[in-house]
Amino acid sequence: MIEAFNISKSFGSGSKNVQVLSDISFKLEKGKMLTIIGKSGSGKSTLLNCLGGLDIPDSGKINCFGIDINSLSEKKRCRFQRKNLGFIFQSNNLLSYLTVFENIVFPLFLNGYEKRDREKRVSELLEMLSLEQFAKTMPHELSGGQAQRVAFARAIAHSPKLILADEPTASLDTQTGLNLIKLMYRVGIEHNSTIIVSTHDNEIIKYADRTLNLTDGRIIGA
Amino acid sequence: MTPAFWIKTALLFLFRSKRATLALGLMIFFAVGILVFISSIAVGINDSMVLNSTGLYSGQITGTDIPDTVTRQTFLVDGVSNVLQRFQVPGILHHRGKKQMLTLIAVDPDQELKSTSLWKKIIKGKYIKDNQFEILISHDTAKQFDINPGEKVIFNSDSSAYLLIVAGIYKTGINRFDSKIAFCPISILSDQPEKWDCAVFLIPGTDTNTIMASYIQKGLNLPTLKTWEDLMPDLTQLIELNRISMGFIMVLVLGVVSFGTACAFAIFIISNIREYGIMKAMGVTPSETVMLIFTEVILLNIIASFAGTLAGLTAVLLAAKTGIDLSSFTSHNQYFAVSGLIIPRLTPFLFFLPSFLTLSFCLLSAVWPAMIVKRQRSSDILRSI
Repeated sequence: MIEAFNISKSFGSGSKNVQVLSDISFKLEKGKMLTIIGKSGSGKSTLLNCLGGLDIPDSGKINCFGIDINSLSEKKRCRFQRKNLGFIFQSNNLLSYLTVFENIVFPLFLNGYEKRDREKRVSELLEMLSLEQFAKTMPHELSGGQAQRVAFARAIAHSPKLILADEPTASLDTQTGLNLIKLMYRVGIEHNSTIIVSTHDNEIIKYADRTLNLTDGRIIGA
Repeated sequence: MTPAFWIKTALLFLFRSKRATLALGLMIFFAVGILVFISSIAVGINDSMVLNSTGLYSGQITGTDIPDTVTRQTFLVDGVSNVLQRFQVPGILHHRGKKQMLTLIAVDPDQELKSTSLWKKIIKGKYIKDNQFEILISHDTAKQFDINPGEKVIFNSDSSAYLLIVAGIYKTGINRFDSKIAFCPISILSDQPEKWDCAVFLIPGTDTNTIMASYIQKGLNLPTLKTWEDLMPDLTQLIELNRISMGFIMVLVLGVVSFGTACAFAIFIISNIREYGIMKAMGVTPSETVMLIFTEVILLNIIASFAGTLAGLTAVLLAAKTGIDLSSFTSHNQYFAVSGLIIPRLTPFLFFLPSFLTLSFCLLSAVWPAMIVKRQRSSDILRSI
């Protein structure tokens, strides 16, 4: 279960202080899909970053599968992230000097998979996402849709308990975006992964078990 | 996760950041290569000064007033290539009514030709021959007597008189050689003095102190036996000065290069900060990120330094084949009396020093950007790009 209790977060200080998140609380059962909707600047990305431990909230508490991630040391939080989390960013954020294969295998290396298991898993993902012929391709040689599929493969390679996706379809055309969401939904069900997606896309909301509507850092509808 | 994973990641990072890696690698390559070559020239200059100063006449170890009970053989220990025996005979040289007080040094011409270079300083005539009543005089003496090779002189010692033919005239440019001494073969002396002088020549690379220790062990504890370092403190000091200057040059060159390298490294790492941000978002710990950056720096240095050292070594070997002739810059210098030819040489210490210093400077230069990457949160990094 993912639990957020009274999360607040601001950036800047003094007169330039901007309150990005205010008193956010929610619960999400394991294996469910949550979408966070809201306008640009409503705090969706910041909330996702806080949930994934990439940002530390100013106040409040986040429990990921029973662990208060903000109470962990930086090293332990990193270890928790590499094992339990898979991130998909708006711009694919692939490692530009690694090939498609190397990008997908990276989290498996981090999690200490054996060579045979790594290769088997990457082959499965490449096949599942129809990326076999791009295994040795560099990220800059891929189209936006292909790159986002690789980013998705990398995020789910190590079968994380929680997948966080920050507007994953924003840079894709409607059909490619929809395909990606369907795939994410299917993988979520197959692996019983919890999925949290921030989006503007109404099509994605249809697949969600629950939706949070953020405005100016506050939940105005759930 | 094994170190092999980080090494592989760092190598991929370097090889695929082609132009940036090449630019940084070339800076290190040239810095190391040039320093290796410059160091070898500095060593070559020192070698040349010692060789010129000791090889002209005196040898690396010199002894005077040695009793005739001590033979030449006594000085022949391991590491010694030759021992020259000389006798000093003070007297007066006469020619056509002119006189000059000088010391005639009786030598073994064949052995002298083998080990010394005085014969290279002959400007007229030839070197003296064994069993011939010949004399080798300095340019100053020849000028005073207005004499040329083939003419005769008379030398009067306390006990004997010799009629000698001038075989040759030499000029070294060193005052103590160019005035009031002359040379003749030992074999013509009618009565040898009781005491003799020795000049000990060592096999290249042999330490004078080791030989002195051997002599003391053999009971040859003569107070007049001195190494060239004792006899020529000015040269010893000059060599030390040369070494220190070389050290300064190395640090300065590397300081300038490392400043450039440091800036380039900072730009290199910061321009790739996105990559480190993504890695951190995937759960790479800050210390692993720092380790990756330092692995990249170390690998780049190892490769570029290795290539630079090889290039420097190749240049040294090529230059050592013919030597570098600096005679036009050394002709009036007593430490280059015989030859201004510099043979570049590398010592093991100087072979590794440039690479070691470059690596140290580059590691230092990577500290600041590594700390930036370490301290920044992945969310801040990804937000800023």
